[in-house]
Amino acid sequence: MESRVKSLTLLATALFLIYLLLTGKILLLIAARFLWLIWLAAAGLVVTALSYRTLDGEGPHGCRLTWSRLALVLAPLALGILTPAAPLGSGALANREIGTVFNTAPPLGSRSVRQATERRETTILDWAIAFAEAQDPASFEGETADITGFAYQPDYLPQGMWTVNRFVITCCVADAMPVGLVVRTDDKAPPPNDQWVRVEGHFTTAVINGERVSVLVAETVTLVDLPRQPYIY
Amino acid sequence: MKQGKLILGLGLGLGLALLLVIERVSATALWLRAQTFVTIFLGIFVEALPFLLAGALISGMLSQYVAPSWIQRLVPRQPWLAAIGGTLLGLFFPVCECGVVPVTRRLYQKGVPLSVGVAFLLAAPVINPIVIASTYAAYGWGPMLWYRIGAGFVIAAAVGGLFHFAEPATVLRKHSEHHSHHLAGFETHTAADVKEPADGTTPRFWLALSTGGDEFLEMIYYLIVGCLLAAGLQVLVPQATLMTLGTGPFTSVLAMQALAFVLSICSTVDAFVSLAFVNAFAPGAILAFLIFGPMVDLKSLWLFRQVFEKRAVAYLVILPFLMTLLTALLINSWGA
Repeated sequence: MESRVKSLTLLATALFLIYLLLTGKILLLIAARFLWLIWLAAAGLVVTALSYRTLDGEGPHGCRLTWSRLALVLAPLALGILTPAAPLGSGALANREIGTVFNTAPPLGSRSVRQATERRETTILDWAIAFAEAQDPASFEGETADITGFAYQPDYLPQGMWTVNRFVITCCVADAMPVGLVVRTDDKAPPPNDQWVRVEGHFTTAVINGERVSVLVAETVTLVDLPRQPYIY
Repeated sequence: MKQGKLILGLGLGLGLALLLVIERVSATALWLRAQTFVTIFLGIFVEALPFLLAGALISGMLSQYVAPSWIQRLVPRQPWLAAIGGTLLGLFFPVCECGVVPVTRRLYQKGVPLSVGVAFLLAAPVINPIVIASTYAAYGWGPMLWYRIGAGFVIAAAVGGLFHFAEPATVLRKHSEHHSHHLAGFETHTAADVKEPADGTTPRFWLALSTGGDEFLEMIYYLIVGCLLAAGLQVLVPQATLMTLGTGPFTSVLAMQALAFVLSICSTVDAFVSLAFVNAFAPGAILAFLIFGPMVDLKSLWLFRQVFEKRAVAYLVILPFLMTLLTALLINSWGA
């Protein structure tokens, strides 16, 4: 009996991983480059679960699987399946403002990270790195940009300005670092926090908190759906 | 255990109350934080699962294919040499801080001395081949790579060597329900070589797998508790506050150690994560992040409890903490 429960628990964990992989929810949790590892783990769990079939009865060794333990082991599975999938957003921004110091230190500006990251479009991260390397915000005056991220209205920005943000992750959401750009829409109302937007516009500069930074003057702001890969790697 | 759960519950409740009162968090903000908590918890959990499984399966294989007598022949008698042996084992075993715990426990069941297990436990997550490769990818053949390997090696061997002076019965946790020969010192361990399959018909390979499966199910419980704590702290402790603490050569080291402890990132990728702090922190602080984090973090702490008694776990935190701090301060003062 106990062998069967263990086998089923392992199988359930494997199915949970496969569920995350097939629904794409996994991309809200970990970096795409580790997906193969999750496939491998799911396969390993299935084989391990099958190994119990070869045992008679209790098997020669015993980890006691009590009901309370079983409930705790299955809790993350239920949590992952039942709760609505949500990427990190403004709720995490409030707590991780290291990377949002615009134009100062590059959050992940190191060469090796950039080499390890494949990007086809110019992201917020690219701009943040470019700003940090150039030092002078005025040198970007008039340059056009087309970026996608989620909107957030920090308290310190004046009326008519808000930020568009992405999280940069290396491994999983535990190491997420936010990067953001200030957007100026003047009299238009800012989108609600966490709304994904595509902003097209050109750069100018403004003084925020006593520091001159680049600001994207929005020409168009389009509300878009959550991308399949919300994070930048 | 009950008392621990009570304290844990009280702590979390208190944290939540503080958040509500001090930060005047609104219901929406609380909901957002709850969502963030779930996402971070699942992220750490899913990312750690493959590594825990790998460790459990390696442990299962060790249980069936490696005889304690072989290990006893291989391990040096001299305690410090034995500790260095354990550290060297860590250099070759590709397990990170989740996978290393089941393997260490198995090694103890096979009768390795305390010092070897502890040295291996601390060394493997810092200096295993995958970690070396990722540190190289992040820092190149720079001093950071060599500092990490060198200091990681020395600290693991030193803590392992110190554990030689402890009494195994007070360090290792007894598993009363099974593994009667669990408490394994050299002296006590004589029998129970490679186990023959119980009914004589089950192939050894399958038996190894199911032993690994059992190990996995036992450890995953602690992994979940560790992930819950790590995710909780990530949501409750503002990282910006941690960072503002860390400007001086001394406080920056403490801040990075605290951050490594709380973040609980897998040691195979922490080098990339640390790059984000290179500009803001002294090299010693970065090194402390890279050595202390893999050895001890909030998530692995709970796994440690599967193998060690509470006091031993405390030593396993304090000793690496102090030694990393000292190393980091030395490096900061040389650099200055």
